[in-house]
Amino acid sequence: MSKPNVALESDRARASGMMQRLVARHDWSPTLGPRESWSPVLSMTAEMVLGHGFPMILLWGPRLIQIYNDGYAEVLGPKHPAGLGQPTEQCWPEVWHINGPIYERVRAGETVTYEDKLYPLARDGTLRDAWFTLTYSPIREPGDAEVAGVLVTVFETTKVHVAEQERAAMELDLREAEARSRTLVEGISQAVWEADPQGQVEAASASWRAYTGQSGRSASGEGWMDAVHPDDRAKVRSAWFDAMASQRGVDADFRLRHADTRDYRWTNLRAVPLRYADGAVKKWVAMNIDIHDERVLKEQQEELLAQLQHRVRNILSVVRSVFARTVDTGRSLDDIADHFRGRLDSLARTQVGVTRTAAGMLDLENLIRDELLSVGESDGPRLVIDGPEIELSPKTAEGLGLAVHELTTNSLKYGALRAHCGDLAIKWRLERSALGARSLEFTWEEFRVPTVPVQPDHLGFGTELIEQALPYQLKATTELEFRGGGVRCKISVPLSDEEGIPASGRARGRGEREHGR
Amino acid sequence: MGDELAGKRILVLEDEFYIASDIDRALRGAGGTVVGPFAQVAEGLASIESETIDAAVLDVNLQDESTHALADKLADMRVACLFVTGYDKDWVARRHGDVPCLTKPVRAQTVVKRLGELLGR
Repeated sequence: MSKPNVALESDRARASGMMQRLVARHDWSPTLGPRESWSPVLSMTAEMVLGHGFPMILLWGPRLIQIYNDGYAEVLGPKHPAGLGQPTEQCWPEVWHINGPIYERVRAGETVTYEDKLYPLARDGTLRDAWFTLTYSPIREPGDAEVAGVLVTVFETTKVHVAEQERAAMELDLREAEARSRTLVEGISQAVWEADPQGQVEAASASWRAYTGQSGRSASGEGWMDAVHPDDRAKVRSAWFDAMASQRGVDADFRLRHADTRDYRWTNLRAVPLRYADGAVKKWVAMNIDIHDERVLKEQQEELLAQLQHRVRNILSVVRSVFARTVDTGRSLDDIADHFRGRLDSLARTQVGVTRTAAGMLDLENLIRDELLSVGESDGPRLVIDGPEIELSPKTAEGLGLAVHELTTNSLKYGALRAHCGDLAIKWRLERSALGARSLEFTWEEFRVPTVPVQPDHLGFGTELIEQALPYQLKATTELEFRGGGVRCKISVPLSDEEGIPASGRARGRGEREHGR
Repeated sequence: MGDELAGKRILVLEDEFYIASDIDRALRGAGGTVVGPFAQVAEGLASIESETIDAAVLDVNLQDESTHALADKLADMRVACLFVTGYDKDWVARRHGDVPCLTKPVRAQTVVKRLGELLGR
């Protein structure tokens, strides 16, 4: 008995010897009997276990009582220190279904080894997966055929396993991310392709071939540029090879042939260099994104803006000319101001009307009524306003509006509207010639106005407008008569395709508006 | 009134009567002979078939392709063209390149002066 004691003594002297101390202090009498009574094999094996660097546990006797070392205490986790001297089945109920059969085999004399075996262990109060490589060896008393104990040597491989799992998960994540970005790129792009450092395409990608309808052979080298709109080719070529030379990436907008629609669509080409570690260009990766709709919209917007500028600057020019002509009459400043204000208001009403609808069309009747309303006149027993609903372009409306203004001003001062000393009929209709050309026939007719003997000189502007400006800019045919009984003005204006009776207004009856004169 | 355009025949295309007649008056005042003024491109095109033209004042309507045809034809004939337009110069340049261009509203006298420069007076 002295020999094991000596060994125990020397081991106790080791710096870390927690289990040595616990085993020494443990009361073994209920299980394996007092320490002094242990057989030499048990004592020696226990000593070997306690002194070993690998986790080891010795299961002794029919109840497989546990003696384990510092390393194994870690494996036990919270089961330590209660596990010391405990029958192993009580200590490990959760894996008894695994361990029980193994011990049976070892007791039958077999050495059993398992590599990377999964043992769910209750560590820190929760069941966690842990992996171990274990060897179960039978220990016999000398000369005895019976196996007295099972020595278990353990090497935990959980860390390796977790690392492997993490690596696999990362790989899966990476593959998913790759698939995600590939799907995204394919979803938003027309084509994704590659070129060598000199900008030559070795093999056109499937997406490029599908989009442009080019074959792999015809797109290779610089052949891909054949799918670019002929007008854009030179620009694309220089942008492409400038980028290859400067290695700075490509960002170019151009039209690209679209096989499905047999048309060109605007595309934005982006290409960036992929580099080796030393910075040299390995290849170029390129992507085309469809910007057709945005581009067309932008062009329409620019066009609209240009048209607006054109209109605004033109109307300013007209205002300038109208002003110069009003001043040229050489009348009093009050008179000039009065006339100019009236003409400016008339132009303004047309502009407001034009900008009221998206189509920029103006209703003739509104134009006339607005003009008359501005001087406090509306239809009644002595004023007839009658004609079908007719939409006019801004250009026609501007000219006619100004003519109506001049006629109204004249009528207020000298004609039918002057204290209502006569009657006025403003009528219009749509006429279609034998050749199908449509025209607006407008008449302004005053009746029973006390005679105005001579053509009033104040009508200089209005006369020029009706007799010269309208024929010039509207190709109108006009007649202006100052006769006994009042003014009679006829204006015949050819209408453009978009002018005339609007589709929604055809059914509108106008007979009820007629007032007898 | 001067004679900076004396002996010169100038085509005027401008669809606004008042602008056209102001330019017309100013060109005549400077001694020029006005061909037109025309409100429609077709009239302008017809006139260059039968008349000698030294210069042209054009109001370009960019929506109307025939305006470009007239401008191109005059350029081919090496007739000095002055664009008087409500559009931005960029828009005119986009279609016709870097051509002499005045932006409306413009004084008729400015048109005369610029034409005189173009004709080397």
